Amino acid sequence: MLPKKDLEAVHRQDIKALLETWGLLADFEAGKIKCRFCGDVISEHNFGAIFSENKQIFFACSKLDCLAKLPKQK
Amino acid sequence: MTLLSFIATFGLTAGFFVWLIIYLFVLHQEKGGKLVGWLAGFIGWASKKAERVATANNIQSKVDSFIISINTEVEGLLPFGLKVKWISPDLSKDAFVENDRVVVMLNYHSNQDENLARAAMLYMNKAVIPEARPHIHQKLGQAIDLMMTKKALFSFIEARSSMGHFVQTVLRPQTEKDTELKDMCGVIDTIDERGLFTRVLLKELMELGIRRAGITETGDTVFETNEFIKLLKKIAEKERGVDVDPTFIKNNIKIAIIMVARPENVDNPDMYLRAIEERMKKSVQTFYLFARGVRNIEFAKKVTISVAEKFKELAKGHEEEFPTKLQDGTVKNSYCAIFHNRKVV
Repeated sequence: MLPKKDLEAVHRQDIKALLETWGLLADFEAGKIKCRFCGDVISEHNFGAIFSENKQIFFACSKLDCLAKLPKQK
Repeated sequence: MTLLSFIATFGLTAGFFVWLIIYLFVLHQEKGGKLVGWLAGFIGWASKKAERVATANNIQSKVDSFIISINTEVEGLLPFGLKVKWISPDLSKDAFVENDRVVVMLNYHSNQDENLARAAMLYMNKAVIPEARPHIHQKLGQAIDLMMTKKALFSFIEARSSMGHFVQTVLRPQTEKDTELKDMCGVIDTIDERGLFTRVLLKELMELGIRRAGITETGDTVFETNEFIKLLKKIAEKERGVDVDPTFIKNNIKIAIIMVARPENVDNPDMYLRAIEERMKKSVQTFYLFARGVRNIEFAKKVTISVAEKFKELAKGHEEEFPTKLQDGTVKNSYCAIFHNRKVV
């Protein structure tokens, strides 16, 4: 059997709870969170991914074009 | 009368349940409310859990089936499977930023197209020839990811609409604004139709990546792999009767593609054995014997047996039949046998 590698994921139903844990829900609801790649405001409807680089949190919108630019996971 | 004393008196009969309903929803409504709340909470938890399991299984099973089918073409090309690991909404910010991480959002399992396209793309980005990436042109790497994702989504027969979603939202927008990427995807598409994408290009790049692991790239290998893909394109677009030298001998990639066709009224593999012998002297590392169509395949199998008998230094690595698409769009059965030269370093 092949070894498996994790694809870390968050379910759509848990997004708001996660952002609340990180204290980012207010910013999210105020439209202050933007896609790292295209600059679009991220809402519940176009949420693509969250990633961290150099101790900072970034967001990507749901356009696969932007998801394709996500850093490669190790 | 308390709940317990009622059960002791009447047992768990229909009368008991009637009494229980009256007890909870008429006599002690606060207890009934608590019970409904607890049940709703349990159902909510169970359905959330079920939703996550359905979403993850839907992706994992399809990606796994694609891996199995690709690994029958090139062993080890996709070296690991995919496991969706849900992160908890309680995960602390510090824990998240501690290491560089990527967490993709997956939608309800009913949004299958979107989830599959996302997961397949991120998987290919990690799994396909990771060791070779520093030694190939960035555009070639991007094109390989895109075309492998397309190939995977196309293979999900019961969810093929996910490929349409991918083409519309990624492939087309990316290639429309990048001519170089578009050309590269076009080349890969053509060589894939002839069966050369995974079996030759990705196999050679995978092996090159392993051989060059830990060596700093100076640009020479990137140039070499670009030349290699040009040759594959020439072979894939070759018209009948036109000669293309199918040998590529450079620093890292040393291969020969032998297209076997049975000449009229000849059933002798000697000309192919001679061609292989000549190239062995030139240090060809891997021989790919290809044939198309029933008559040629039958003959190519004889050639394969003769090669294995005559050249003990060649180890037969792989042999298979598969469908290919010709330039005029017709689909023909094809054959491929691979031999590795043990003596070449």
